[in-house]
Amino acid sequence: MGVDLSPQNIKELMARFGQQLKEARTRDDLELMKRDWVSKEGFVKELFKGLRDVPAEEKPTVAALLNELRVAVEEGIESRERALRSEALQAQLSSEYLDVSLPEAATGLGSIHPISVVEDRITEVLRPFGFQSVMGPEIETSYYCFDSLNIPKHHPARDLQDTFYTETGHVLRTHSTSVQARILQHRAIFENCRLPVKVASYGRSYRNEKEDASHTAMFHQYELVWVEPGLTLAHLLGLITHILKELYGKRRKVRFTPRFYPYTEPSVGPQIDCSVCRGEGCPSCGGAGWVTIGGSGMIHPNVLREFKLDPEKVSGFAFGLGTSRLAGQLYNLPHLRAVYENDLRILKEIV
Amino acid sequence: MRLYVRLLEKLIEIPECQVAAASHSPLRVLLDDLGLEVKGVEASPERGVIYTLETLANRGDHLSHVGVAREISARTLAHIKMPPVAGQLSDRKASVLVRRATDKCMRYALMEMSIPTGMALRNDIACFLEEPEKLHPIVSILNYVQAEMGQPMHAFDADKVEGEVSVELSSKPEQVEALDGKAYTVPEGSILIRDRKKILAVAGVIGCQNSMVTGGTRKVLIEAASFDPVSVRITARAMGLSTDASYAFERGCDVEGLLPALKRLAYLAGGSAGTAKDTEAAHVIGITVADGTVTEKRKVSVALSALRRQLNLPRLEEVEVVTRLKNLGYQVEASPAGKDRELQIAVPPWRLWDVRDRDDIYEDMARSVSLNRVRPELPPLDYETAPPNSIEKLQRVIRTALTGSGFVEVITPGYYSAAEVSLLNQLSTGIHKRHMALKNSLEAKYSHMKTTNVVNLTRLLSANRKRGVLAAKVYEVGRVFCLPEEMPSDEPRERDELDYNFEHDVVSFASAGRWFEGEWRKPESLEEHLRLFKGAIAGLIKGIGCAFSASKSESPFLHPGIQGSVKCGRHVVGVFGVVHPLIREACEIKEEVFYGELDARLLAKLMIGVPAPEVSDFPAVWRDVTLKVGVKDQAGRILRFIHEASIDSLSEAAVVDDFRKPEEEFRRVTFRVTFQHRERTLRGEEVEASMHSLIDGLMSKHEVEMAP
Repeated sequence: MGVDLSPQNIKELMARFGQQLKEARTRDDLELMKRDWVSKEGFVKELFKGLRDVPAEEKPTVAALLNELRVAVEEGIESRERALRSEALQAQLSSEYLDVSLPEAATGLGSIHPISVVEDRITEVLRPFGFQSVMGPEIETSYYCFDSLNIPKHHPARDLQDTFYTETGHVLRTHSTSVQARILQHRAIFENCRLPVKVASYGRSYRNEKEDASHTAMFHQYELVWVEPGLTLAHLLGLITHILKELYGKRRKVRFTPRFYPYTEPSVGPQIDCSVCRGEGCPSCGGAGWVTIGGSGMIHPNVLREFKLDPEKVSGFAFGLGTSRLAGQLYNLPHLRAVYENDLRILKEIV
Repeated sequence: MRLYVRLLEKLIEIPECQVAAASHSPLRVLLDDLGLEVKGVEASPERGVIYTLETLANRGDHLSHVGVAREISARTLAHIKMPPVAGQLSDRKASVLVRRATDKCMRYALMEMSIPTGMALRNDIACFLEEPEKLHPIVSILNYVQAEMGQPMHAFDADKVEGEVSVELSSKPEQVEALDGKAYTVPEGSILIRDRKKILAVAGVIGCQNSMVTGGTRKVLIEAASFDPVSVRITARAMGLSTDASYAFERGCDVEGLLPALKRLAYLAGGSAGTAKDTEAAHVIGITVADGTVTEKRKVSVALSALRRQLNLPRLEEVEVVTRLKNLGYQVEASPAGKDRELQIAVPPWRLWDVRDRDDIYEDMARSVSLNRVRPELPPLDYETAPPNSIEKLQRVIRTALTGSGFVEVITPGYYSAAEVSLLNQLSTGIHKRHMALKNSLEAKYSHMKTTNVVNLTRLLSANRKRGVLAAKVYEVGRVFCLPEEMPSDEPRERDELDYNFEHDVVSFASAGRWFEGEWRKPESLEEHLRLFKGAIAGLIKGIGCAFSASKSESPFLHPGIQGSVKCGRHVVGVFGVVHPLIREACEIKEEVFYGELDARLLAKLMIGVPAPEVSDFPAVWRDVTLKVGVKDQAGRILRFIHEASIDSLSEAAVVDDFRKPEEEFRRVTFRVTFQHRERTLRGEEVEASMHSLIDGLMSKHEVEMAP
């Protein structure tokens, strides 16, 4: 039986399609419509097959109508499909809910200790000057800790450095200056006093003290030694000022006071205005408004001589900055112990 | 040193120092700037301002008001008004003979004085002394003169001295009863002041009861001397005593300060001061001085140009330099005018202990012009930037790996107590027994150097859990210490970086409580926590560019059944696991603590950097295989075999399930083996062949069976 390709029928089909599309409420309804209308066996294909029986003069008109029908069917189904998908998505989204105000599940980032932060920053500041960073032993001989550094056995300066002695007769280094002695000795014995010496070293030092809010038996220092002809006190002050300004910002005040260290001459104590009271005076700075953050000086001629260097030809300077103090000042910690208390509630937050 | 501002005002014009603003007075600022650090402030309308100064250990001359005035004078260029002294002491000698039998006493003087019965201390002296009413007036005046001029002196009751007074070294340990009423043993080799029968004083340290001045004393012998600083120090230390006198002598006194001090004393104690009635005044009877070596006339020469360069003050005038140095007590002569003026500088006798060469003069000049006037100058930059050392490189990897996993860096002490040593000794017979003891710790909590960080980190976690930290995860890059089997030589030698005699660098890390933060979340199981902990280690090892694996280990401070060695490629670099219950108990933490300790030196050596991985664009194919694994066997062993099997296309192997049915005596562990070829898509039969080969190998070499 031939298909009815009369314009009337095609228009009726179009109207029927429109009605069915309106009634399609689900994806299944739409799948059925697709099968009936656009599959290989669907109405549209069947109508097109009938086109070959249409007289030639009517073909253009009928074909145009059929194309119109096909486009309407395809677009109608596609559009309805989109609408249904959108409705379904909307329904799904409106039914789903999670309370995002509940706490997150995370390991959270850890943190780097304030002392390490200070050490890293100073190392970075010093890098353009060509400093080599080295480590040294914490258990030392008294030669490296005292004797080679112009601290004779019964000098009152040894009082400054209440020393831990081990059962083997060694000492726990009282300052990182012992690394300076090792480096200078190494250069003297194994490297024919090669110059310049530009070495930085940092780590723990120990003093045999009773612990309280402002004293710990262990503390950290950042040691630097630079030996080269022509270095002056002004260079030393310049480098320390540069480091402190880089650490704390240009507005932070820096000053220098005379000190005594047997291994340096002149000896200098760098100070910064207290971060807690901004120089007004408070318990953490002993009311002075200033905090001494280490010791420094031009290397004593006796120390240079000890390591086969001629003080008439070369000079050098060294400093040992108290990294624990620097860290305390960087993070406004009211007392030194806070740096070593390892309270994770503080350590996680301050860095 | 206690600095009485009113006394200082008598010597020199000083910057303002009001009682109400003593803490921030211009004088205090000046003192700090001069290196006379103010450590304490007392201020009252009655006594004015008293500063407690911390003086420099090489500057005995700073322990007097005149010494402080000299420093101020060099800075402000104000003149010092030296305190008045008696014009002439006496032509007569004291009634006792003095014998100086050791060169450790450079000079010794005894001044004999009569003491009136009603001797009273003048108020203008008493106000500068602490509790003068407890002392005989003559002793108070000695103390005053020491505070003023720096010369320690001592008074003997002349009637208690028998025969010649000698200054000599002790040939054996001696017992003395000192002025403080305590008995002391004085070591052999100490300088002693003796009469014919007894020890009168331990030179420079303290006098003895047997010759003490009392209310009934009518005649005194005033001792003023110059003693060897080291000798005084050794004796005072051995006696466990530090007196004002020993403190001053140890730091070096003016070797020519004896007579001026005695003259000052005679002035104040005698009628010369004008306020004491003659009947209340002490009178000099005679004086005997035993001189030793002649005071050295030391000279130092300094080129003005070098001084200017040091201070970076090119316009520093010669006249300014000379004036400041003279105010410090130096005598200065300039060489004839020329291109580079040299100053010949004679060192004053009170500075012979610390001024030896031109650097000391640089220091004095820097202090007197102020270090803060020195113009800082940045030294030259260097274009050969040194690379970071191996520990620094390692630290970067560690920080990235561990802070990324939520670990917080901590710093723990290098030591612990004997209790911890005893705890670890219970657990170990090996290296951890080789603790190095500290001989002289002031506190029991630091008696030994630590051989492992497990106790310190466990204790730290315990404290933080008690503080309410839910997920406590910490790490530390530090040192542990141990006595080697053979004592190494201290002779200098060429060393590798990080090669030390008694210590080595370790990375230690620990975790307790939860892994993830958040109270609302279910805590991780022991097994899950262990895996997360191990994952952090794996991240670290991968970060240094090595393959990570774990195998059996026998660390004494970890739970014997929950621990493993950490392997970096083929090298065992450390251990990890659950902390031994005994350590946990000692550290007062009830829950499990996870701990790992790695050899940082070895890690640093193995660190090769992580190259960019070679990846394939062709599809990956995987196969799962479930094998029977013994309950206490390690699945990691099988995994390692798979990794090391020589199959070209094998790209990854992992455990994806570990399951044990309650009724079975084995675990079912599922391994996922992934194959991927770099240049083509693998065929199914190739993959099957590889899997067969792998399973055959496992069955023959490891005697494993497929799970039913």
